[in-house]
Amino acid sequence: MALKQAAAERGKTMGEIIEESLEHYGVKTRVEAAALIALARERAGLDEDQAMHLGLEASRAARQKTN
Amino acid sequence: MIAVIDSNVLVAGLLSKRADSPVSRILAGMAAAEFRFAVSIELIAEYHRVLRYPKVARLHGFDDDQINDLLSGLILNAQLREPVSVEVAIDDSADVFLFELLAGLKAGVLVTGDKQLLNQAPNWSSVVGPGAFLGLLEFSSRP
Repeated sequence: MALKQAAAERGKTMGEIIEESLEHYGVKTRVEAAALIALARERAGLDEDQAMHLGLEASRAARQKTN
Repeated sequence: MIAVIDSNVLVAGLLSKRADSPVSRILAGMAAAEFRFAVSIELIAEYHRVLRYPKVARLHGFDDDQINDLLSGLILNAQLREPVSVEVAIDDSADVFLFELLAGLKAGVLVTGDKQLLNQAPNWSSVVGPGAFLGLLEFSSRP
């Protein structure tokens, strides 16, 4: 009902309201993801070889590798 | 071309201090939807596990909500695909799910930092390192 009311108040269809919300969500999450990536890189501060070494270790652990 | 980004590239991109390193550029490209990439449910679950791996989590310092926000931002730009059952002769059967995802893609490329996967890739597959993938992207964007 809230969606129907919001659509009526803004003179839009419910589909248009949903589309706008998804677009807003997409933009927001993209911005947040980029900010989180920048924050993590600053905090971790590894060189590329160290970062990949840890990446391989984490992948192996996630796949329960023993080698 | 559509990429499958191995979880080791995701982690390395997140923790590498150099913004211009290949892994950093790939992760930034995923977040900004600069190239097409595919995921399966299993790969998303692995992304989640590697980001919560204790040594990794200690370095990025994110709580569960931030990990979910980061993953949402990436997955939003991905194409969710069904794996295709394939027989692959590689040493570690735990890696097969990557090839099952790759097998369902037209012009799919697996991007990994795992030298074992690079060396054992089946003939039908395309498996490259992070630097080579950036080269492919640049080549494919040429007029």
